[in-house]
Amino acid sequence: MKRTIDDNIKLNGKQQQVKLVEDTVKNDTFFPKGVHIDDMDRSIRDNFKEKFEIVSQGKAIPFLDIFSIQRFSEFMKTWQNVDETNTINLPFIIMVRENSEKGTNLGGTFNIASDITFPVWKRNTVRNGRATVDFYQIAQPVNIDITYIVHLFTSHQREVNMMDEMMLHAFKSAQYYVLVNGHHMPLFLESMDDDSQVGDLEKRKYYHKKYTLKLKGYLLREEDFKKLPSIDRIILKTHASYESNAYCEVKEVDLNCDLCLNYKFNRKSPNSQTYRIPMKLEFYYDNQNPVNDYSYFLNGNLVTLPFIAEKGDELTVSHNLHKQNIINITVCAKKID
Amino acid sequence: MNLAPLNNNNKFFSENEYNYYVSQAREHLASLDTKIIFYKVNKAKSQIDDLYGEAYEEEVTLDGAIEIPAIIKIDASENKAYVSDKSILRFEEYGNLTASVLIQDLEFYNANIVYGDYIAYRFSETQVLYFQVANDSQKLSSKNTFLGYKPYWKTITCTPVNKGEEFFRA
Repeated sequence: MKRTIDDNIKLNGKQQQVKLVEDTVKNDTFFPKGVHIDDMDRSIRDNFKEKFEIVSQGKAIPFLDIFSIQRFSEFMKTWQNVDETNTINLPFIIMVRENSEKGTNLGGTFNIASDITFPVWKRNTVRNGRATVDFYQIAQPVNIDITYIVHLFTSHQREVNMMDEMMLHAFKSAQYYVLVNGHHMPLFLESMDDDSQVGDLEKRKYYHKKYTLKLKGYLLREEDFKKLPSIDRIILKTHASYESNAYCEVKEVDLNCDLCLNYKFNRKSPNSQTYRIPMKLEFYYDNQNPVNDYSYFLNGNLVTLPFIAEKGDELTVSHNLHKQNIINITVCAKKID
Repeated sequence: MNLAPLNNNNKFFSENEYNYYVSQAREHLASLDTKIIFYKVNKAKSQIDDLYGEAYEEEVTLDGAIEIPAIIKIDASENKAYVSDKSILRFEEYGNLTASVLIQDLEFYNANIVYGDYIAYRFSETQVLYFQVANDSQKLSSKNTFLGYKPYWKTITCTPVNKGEEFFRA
């Protein structure tokens, strides 16, 4: 019966995914930890030592790890359960590091052939008195596949059975996940082979079972990590433009008269536009053909050229012209004292 | 079965001479003073797994040790590695032990050495080596006889075992 409740179980799939990602950056640096080959070797060894223990006749079968072919690495080991010639007695389990090779891209896609970095974390901060954020970016990890072979040497079929069952249960899913510096990496059981010494009647006989495991991991270099500040101030300058389709523009233009107004209508603008007169003026000329269908209204009253407008009057120009093109109606005035 | 004395070679070699040579051999062994220590597995007291028929050390019960004079030969040891393809976890395996013993001695000590029994040998004052019988030579040949007159010795072949002294003290 379970006496405690693991909070992780309450998380749904997506929440669990997010938690796993967040766990990788739960440290003081806000970056994930780097991953090197020795990190993977160490994690695999520790994981196997801790979680794949076989207890037979009340004793745990010793687990040995040898990742180097150097004689010194064996020489320096302090073996338990050895005979008078320092040869380890059966049974025991040994893990041997095999080949490492160019890795499998688990997404089934291609690598990004550059050193660009991608944000994995965003952190609020204050810089120069302004609230802003820093982006923590890492490069795409480099995939690596590492093979490990776990050897079981024993005199008893029952211990072989125990190991077989434990491995098959652990790898009943497609893979078994190993935590390497906070990164979850899949470990696959590739094969289970028998290399027992049983053929020669006048030799010592023992079982030798081999379990080939492949770790599909990745490498992350700390020197590729980047912390980039975000933009903390934007000065936005805007310029109102009346050249939009929905506006009619009235401009004062310089045509060597006191005031020249240019009413510019386009296809979507309203048919009339009003302008407040800044001074007393006499309007005397425009650029239109008199046959065109347009009119001047001063304070709402129809007027025709020439006409005088007082300061503050509103001059409205309206037209019924076909609006396929832009219509420019320019009207000129001279100042009256 | 006819248990009458053999007379097939009586003209040149008789039972008396046979016994004489056996006694000489015994003297020779006594002068060598090399002995095997025989541990008979007590099948009645030992427990085995009902499926595989195998036993852990503590499930095996041995009868008391019997010292039997023998001419001993230990083959050269082998330099081996458990993970042989990478030469990792090197170990040195003792060579097999062959012990030539007189059949009359075996009868005298009531030592029925069979396949699976254990043999120890005092290699030095401080070292005892342990072996398991891999060939009990139950079927003898002419070379085990005096000129074809009755077998009188046999050679037991044993392989080294991976058990500590505690197993044999129990």
